[in-house]
Amino acid sequence: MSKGWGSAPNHTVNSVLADAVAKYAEQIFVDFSGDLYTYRQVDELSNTLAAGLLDMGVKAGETVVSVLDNSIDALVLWFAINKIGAVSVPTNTAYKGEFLRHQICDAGAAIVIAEADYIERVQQVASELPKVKHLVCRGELPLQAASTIPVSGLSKLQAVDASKLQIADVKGGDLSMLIYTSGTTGPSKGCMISHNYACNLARQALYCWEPTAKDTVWTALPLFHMNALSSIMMMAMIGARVVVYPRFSLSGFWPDIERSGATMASLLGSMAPLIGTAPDSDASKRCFGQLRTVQTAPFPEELKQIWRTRFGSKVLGSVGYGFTEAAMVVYGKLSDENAPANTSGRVQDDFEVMIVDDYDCELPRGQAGEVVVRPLQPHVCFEGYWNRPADTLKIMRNMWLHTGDIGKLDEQGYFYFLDRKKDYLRRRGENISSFEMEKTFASHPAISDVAVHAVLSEMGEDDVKVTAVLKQGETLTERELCEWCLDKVPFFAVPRYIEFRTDLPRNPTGKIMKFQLRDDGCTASTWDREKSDFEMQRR
Amino acid sequence: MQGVAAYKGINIATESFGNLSHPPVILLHGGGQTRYSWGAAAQTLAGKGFYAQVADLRGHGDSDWSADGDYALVHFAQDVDALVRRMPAKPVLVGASLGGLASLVATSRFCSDLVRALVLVDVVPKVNSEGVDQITGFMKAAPDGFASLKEASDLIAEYIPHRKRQTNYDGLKKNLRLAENGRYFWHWDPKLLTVGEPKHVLEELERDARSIVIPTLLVRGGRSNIVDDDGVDHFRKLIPHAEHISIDKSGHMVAGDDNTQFNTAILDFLNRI
Repeated sequence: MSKGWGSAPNHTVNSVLADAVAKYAEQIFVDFSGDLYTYRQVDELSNTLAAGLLDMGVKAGETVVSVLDNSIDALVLWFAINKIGAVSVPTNTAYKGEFLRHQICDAGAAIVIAEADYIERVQQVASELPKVKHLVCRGELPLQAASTIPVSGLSKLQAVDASKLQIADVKGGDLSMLIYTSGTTGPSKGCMISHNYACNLARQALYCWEPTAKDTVWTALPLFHMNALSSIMMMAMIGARVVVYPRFSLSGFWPDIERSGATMASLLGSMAPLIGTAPDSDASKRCFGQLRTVQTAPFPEELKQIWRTRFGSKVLGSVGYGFTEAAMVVYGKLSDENAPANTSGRVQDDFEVMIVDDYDCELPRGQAGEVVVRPLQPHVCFEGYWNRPADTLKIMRNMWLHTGDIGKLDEQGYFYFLDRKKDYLRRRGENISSFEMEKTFASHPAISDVAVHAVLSEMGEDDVKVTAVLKQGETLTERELCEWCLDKVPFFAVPRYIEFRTDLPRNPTGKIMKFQLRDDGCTASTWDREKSDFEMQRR
Repeated sequence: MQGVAAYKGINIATESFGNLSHPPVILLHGGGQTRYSWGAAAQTLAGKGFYAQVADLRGHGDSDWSADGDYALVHFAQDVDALVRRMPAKPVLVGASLGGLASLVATSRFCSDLVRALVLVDVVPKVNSEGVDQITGFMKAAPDGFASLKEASDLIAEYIPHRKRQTNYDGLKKNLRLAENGRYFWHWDPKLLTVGEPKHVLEELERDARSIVIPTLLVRGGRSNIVDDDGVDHFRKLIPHAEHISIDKSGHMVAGDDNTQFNTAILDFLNRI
């Protein structure tokens, strides 16, 4: 028997839903802003839509692209596509133009199902979508919409007789979906996610969250991300309820928590501090103690304290670390009170995790280096990049999946994420975490947004540059900022370059495109410490 | 059976299940129905730790008929208010059709602080008028009564074709009264249709619905001819915090059509609020 390799439960999305329907048919499964659906209803709705997809000519193994907001239809579509053995490609609804065209073409889909609000974006690139045969519109079709590709309504697919539907016999290793990487480093690639990968995420979530059948988990994360899907599948495994909020809003948060009776919430990193610092409302006060478990990352201790005292939450933490190619590779129970600060969880038995240097040689425990991983169970890792074997091979060099992240492991197997490797700076032999640097500079009262990145120096090493956006009405000179940071960052990390801009370049998902800032380098409006009379002393 | 003297001395027939110290739930049937239309729902609730009370609306079943023909919606609502005020704790009102609108109006106008939550069963302020015409058509179809139980059963089968035909008439018997002339008449007061046919003014109901701040659930029959998608959307705009579940294979008479699914949905809500 191979060392370390373990046989794991091999689930499919279809089998998890079928098991749930057998056990919990009339229990509420999902709650979309108060529209409640039982397990049986989700199953029947997805059967109907599956029959509709077959009727449109979709075959097993083919891709179906969707551009949908959070709704029951978006969830049912995922199940429906999987029921016929096809591959769901949920795209980010922020995409348009070239980003959208690239994903639809790359996925090779013949059918694109889009929200009425987004269908025009698809139609605008229609002439460059040679493989797309049908557009399907969810909601009222915009009148002015005209395109070369025929458009029909989603309701047409939902009106097909499903009584003769044959549910595809998929296996754990068959593809459930393609999730595209966000493309901060180049054109985005489709990660092939198997059924068992999706289900393993849910099993991991069960381990981390420890929900009971009486719990209700609340999420405002988009269904085109695996995070929300893992919350949903986690609850399906125990017959509990998931509340999916269409789009996060601060004012709507506590009323929906109160209405839905949610006991657990999965929040994006930006939401938890917003809620934590918003003034009390009647609803937030009435909900005191109701939201027992809250997951977000990062979850600094000060913020946890706020959630404990203001909202009576008990179990607060971050579940784990991973990336689309392999999630999660380390994780931990939210209730683990012994977890050290800043850890993202610990090494478990489904992934092997190693910290290596630039030559893939393992570094001693505690040292920072690139995180590489490999699966210890079948089909818990991605199946490669869709139609890109060369890229797959490249990321799998030496038979380890390279995350491109810098991290470290401690003696107890707890993992700490430090930075994206490409964002990592090396200055005079010292590693500088852009993540830590950005945290520091973001705390300056006049700064609203900041990116810290490398500029290639004449010496062949990195120089540190801070590109920042000032808050409205604030004035600050580069020199003042440099002076300010002297007692906050190590001397080797004090930036050589500072530039103020009105905005930072971002991709459609809002991530700052640092490669562009790196390429911009030292621009005409950049302040250069070494060319000023600024004198720096080691402190 | 117990009686409750309600608005203007009209006696309202009630029946209660479960322990009086448990959280109370009052179930109010639709027009032309009786407290029996809930099937085993009240017993089920009692078994799950609730104090469940079913009542016959005025002019229906074992409750008094109004000699003055006071059958406007507000009169039904005043009866609901009287029931609510007799409860040892804040009750959840579960009202089907007419009983639901009466619960909505009672909560809005008379006892907003005394009701824990509201469950409307296949009714919204804006109902499908064709469906309403069908129901009143059914109620008006036999002004001279029926010669036999089978004749009444035939009429039901004609109006509710999706429901499985009963060969045993015991249940049906509870809905009919044998008159001195030997013919069977519906249990309800014919004045319901002639004198005081409930007039529901949409604007007033909209105002009532907007005032609802307590947890609210709409249980809709998936095959309902009374509540359509338009009606649900309209309702959700009036009470944005309301929840909504569809009992797919049920028509307007939700509890009678699929009691198991109905009970599960109600219990889920009751256990959560």
